[in-house]
Amino acid sequence: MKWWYILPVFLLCLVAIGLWQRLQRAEQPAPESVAPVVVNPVNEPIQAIPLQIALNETKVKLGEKLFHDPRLSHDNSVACASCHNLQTGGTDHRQRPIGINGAEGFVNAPTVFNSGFNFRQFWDGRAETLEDQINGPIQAPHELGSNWQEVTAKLTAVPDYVAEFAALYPDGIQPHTIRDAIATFERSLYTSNARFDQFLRGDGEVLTEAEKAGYHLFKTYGCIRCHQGVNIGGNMFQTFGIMGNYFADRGTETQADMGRFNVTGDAQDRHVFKVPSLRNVALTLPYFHDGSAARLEDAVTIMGTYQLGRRLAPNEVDLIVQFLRTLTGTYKGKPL
Amino acid sequence: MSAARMRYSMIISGVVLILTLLFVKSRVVDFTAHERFTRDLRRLQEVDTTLNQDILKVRDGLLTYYDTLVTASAELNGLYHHIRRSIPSFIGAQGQQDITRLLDAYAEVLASKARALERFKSDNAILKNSLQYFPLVATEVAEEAGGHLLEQGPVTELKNLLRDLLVYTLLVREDLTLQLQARIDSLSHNRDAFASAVERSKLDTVLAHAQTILTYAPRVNSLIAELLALPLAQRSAALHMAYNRHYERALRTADNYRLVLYLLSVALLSYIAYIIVRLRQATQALNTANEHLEERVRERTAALQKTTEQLDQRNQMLVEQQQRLRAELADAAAYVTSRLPLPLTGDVKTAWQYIPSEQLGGDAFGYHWLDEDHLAMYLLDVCGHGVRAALLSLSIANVLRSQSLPGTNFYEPAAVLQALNNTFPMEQHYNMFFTMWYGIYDKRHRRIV
Ligand code: HEC
Ligand code: HEC
Repeated sequence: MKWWYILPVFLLCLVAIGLWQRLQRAEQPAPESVAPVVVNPVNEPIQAIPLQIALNETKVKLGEKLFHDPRLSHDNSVACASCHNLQTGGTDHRQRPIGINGAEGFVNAPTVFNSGFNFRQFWDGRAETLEDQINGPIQAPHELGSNWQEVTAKLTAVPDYVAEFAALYPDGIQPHTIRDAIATFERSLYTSNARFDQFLRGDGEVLTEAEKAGYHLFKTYGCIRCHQGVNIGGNMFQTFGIMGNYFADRGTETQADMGRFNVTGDAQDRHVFKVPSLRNVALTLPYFHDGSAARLEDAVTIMGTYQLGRRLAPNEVDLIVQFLRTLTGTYKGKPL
Repeated sequence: MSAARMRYSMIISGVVLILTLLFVKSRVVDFTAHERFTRDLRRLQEVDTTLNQDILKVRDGLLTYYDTLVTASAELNGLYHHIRRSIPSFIGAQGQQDITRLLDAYAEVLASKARALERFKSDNAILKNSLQYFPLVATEVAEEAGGHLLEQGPVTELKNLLRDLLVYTLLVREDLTLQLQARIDSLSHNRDAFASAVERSKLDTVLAHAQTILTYAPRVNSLIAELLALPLAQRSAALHMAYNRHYERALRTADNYRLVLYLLSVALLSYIAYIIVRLRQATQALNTANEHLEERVRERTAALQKTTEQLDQRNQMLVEQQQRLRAELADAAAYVTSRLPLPLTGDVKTAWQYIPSEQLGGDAFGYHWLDEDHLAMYLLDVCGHGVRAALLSLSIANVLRSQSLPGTNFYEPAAVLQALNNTFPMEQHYNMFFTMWYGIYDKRHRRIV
C-alpha cells in the first residue's frame, strides 16, 4: 500500500520545518530604530555635538526635498524652509512668521537646526517628537494651512516622489512616511564642530580670553542651570520670569504668553516655556517666543534680570555674548 | 476509488492533520520574541535605576546637565510603548489581559514620574541658582551696609538668615520653614533701615533669592523623595513576574503538545515498523508460494504433457480408424462402381462416366437386356449421400437386375416403379426415398417405352 510512505515523509518534513525555523530565527534582521545619539561626555555642563550622526542618507535627501517643497502648503506658496530658512540659521529673522495668505503667526519661529536634540518640540513643548511636530505646521491655518489628505494627494501626483517613497517605504506616500522623511532630515540638521565644541574637546586655544570669561560668567551666573546639555537648552521647561514679572513689564499679554499652560491647563505651568537651545543663537534673532528681543545683548540682559535676578553690567553682557557667538557650528562642513 | 482506499486516505489525512496541529502547537513559544521581551523588561528596570542614580547625582551637583535624565525618561517611555506592542503572541488571552493591566498600572506611575521629573528639573535649576547666588549677594550687601550703618540689627539678621538658610537646605523641616519665612518677611519690612536705594534694591534681590530657596528647597526635596518612592521598580518587577508566569505556562503547554506529538510519532513509527515487518512476512509467504507454484506448474505441465500424449495417441488411432474407414469406403465405392454394368457393344452401344460425390453416393444406374429386343434402362437417385444411400441404391439396382419383384412385368415401367415404391417404403428405410427413371428400349421397333 503506497499510502503508508506519506507518514514517514511527513514526519521528516516536520523535522525539516523545525530546523528551518531555527535557521530563519537567526537570520531575522533587527528592526530599524533611531539609534540614540551617543555624546562623549566631557566634564562640563555643556556637551559637544557628535561630529557624525549616522542617518539613512536617502531619507535625509527626501526629507530635505520635502522641507523645501511649497506643495506642502495649501496654496503651494509656503514651504517649511520659508520660515526655517537654512541660509539664515534655520529661522526667518522675523518677530513672527508669515504663513499662507500673509497670515502672521503667534510666536517667533525657532530654528530647526539641532531640533533633534530637543526633548520636546515647540515653545510650549506640545509635540513630543519631531514626527509629531510636523502635524502642527501642516495643519495650522496661519502656517501651511493644509491637511494630510491634501498633502498626500498632491505628492502622489508627482512621479518622482512616488518613486522615491516607494524605494524607502513599503507603504509609499503616507502621512507617517512623510513625517519620517522630514524628521530624519531634521535630525541631520546638527551643527557640529562649533568653536566652543572644539574647546570642549580639549582645544584650549580656540577661544579668546574674553570668550572664556564669558563662558565662566555663563556658568557662575547660573545661565548654565537652564541652558545646559548638548543643546545648551532644550531639555527642560522653565518659567519665563522667575525673578520678576516679565510679562507685566512688557505689557499686553497674549494667549501664547501662557506657554505650557495652554497644553496642560495646570496653573503651575503659567508662562512656562521650553528652555530654548542656544546653539547658533547669534544667528537666530530675534529672540524669545515673542521675538521681542532684537539683539542678543537684549536677550542676555533680560535673562539676567528675569531668570537670575541679577542686573548684568554691559561688559558682562558683552562677554557672555562673545561666548554665545562661539556656539555657531557648521552644517555640511560649512559654518552656518 | 474504492471504499477501502477512501477510508485509508481519510485516516491518513486525519493523522497528518493531527500531527501538523500538534507540531504547530508545540512550537508556539517564539524564543526570539521571548528574549526580546524579557530584554526589554530587564532594560526597563536598568534604565529606571540609572535614572534614579542620575537624579541623586543632579541633586548633589555631580551631574550638571539634564541630558541623561531626558534620555532615560524617553527610553523608559519608548520601552513601555514597545513592550506594550510586543507582548509575545504565545501568551494566552488571560496572560495578555494580566500583562496589559500591569502595563496600565506601570504607565500610570511612569506618567507621574515623568511629571515629577519635569518639575524636579525646573525647580532644581532655580534652587541651585539661588543657592549659588544668595550667599554671594547676601554677604555683599551685609558687608557694604555693615561698614556704615549705625543700626547693625538688620545686618546681623541678614547674616543669621544667610547661615540658617544654608543649614535649612541640609535639613528641611516644617517648623524651620515657618520661622525662616517670618524672618524674611521682617527683613523685607525693615528694608528702609538700609540707607541707599541701591542697597535697598540689592536687599530685595537677596530676599527674593532667600524666598526662592525657602520655597524651592522643600519642593525639590519632596520631589526627589517622590521620584525615588514612586513604585516604578515594583511595577516593572510585577510585570516581569507576571510575564514569567505566563511564559512558563505557555512553555508547559507547548511541552505537553510536544510530548503528545512525540508519543504519537513513536506510535506511528512503531506502527509503520510493524507494517514493514508484516510486509516482509507477506513477501516471504509470497516467495514460498511462488516456489510451490513452480512445482505445481511443473506437475501440471507434466500432467498436461501426458494428456497431450494420450490425445495424440487417440488422435493417431482416430486417424488410423478414419483411414481404415476411408479405405473401407473406397472399397465400398469400388464395389458400387463394380456393380455398374459394363458398356454394351453390338447393336446397342452404351458409354458412361460415373463420378459419385464423396466416394459413395446414392446415385446409380443400370441396364440389362430383358430379352433380345428389350433393354431395360434406369437411373436412380437416393436422397442423401454416403454408405446408407449407396446401400439402398445398390439393393434397388440389384432388385432390378435380378428382376426379383414377384409378379411384376418388367416391360412395364409404371408397374416396376409401382412395385419398387411398395418394396422400399420411406418409413422402413431411415426416411430415405429415392427418385428414379426407368425405361425400356425396343430394339425391333426402335422406340423407348
Ligand atoms: C509659517 C511659518 C512656518 C512654517 C511654514 C513652518 N514652521 Fe516650523 N515653526 C514655526 C513657528 C512659529 C514655530 C514655533 C511654534 C510654537 O512653538 O508654537 C515653529 C516650530 C517648529 C519646530 C520646533 C522647533 C523647536 O525648537 O521647538 C520645528 C522642528 C519646525 N517648526 C519644523 C517645521 C517643519 C518641518 C515645517 C514644514 C512642514 C515647518 N516647521 C513649517 C513657523 C513655521
Ligand atoms: C531659569 C532658567 C533660565 C536661566 C537661568 C536662563 N535662561 Fe535663558 N532662557 C530661558 C527660557 C525659559 C527662555 C525662553 C523664554 C521665552 O522665549 O519664552 C530663554 C531664552 C534665552 C535666550 C533666547 C533664545 C532664543 O533663541 O530666543 C537667550 C539668548 C538666553 N535665554 C540666554 C540666557 C543667558 C545668557 C542666561 C544667563 C544670563 C540665561 N539665558 C539664563 C531660561 C533660562
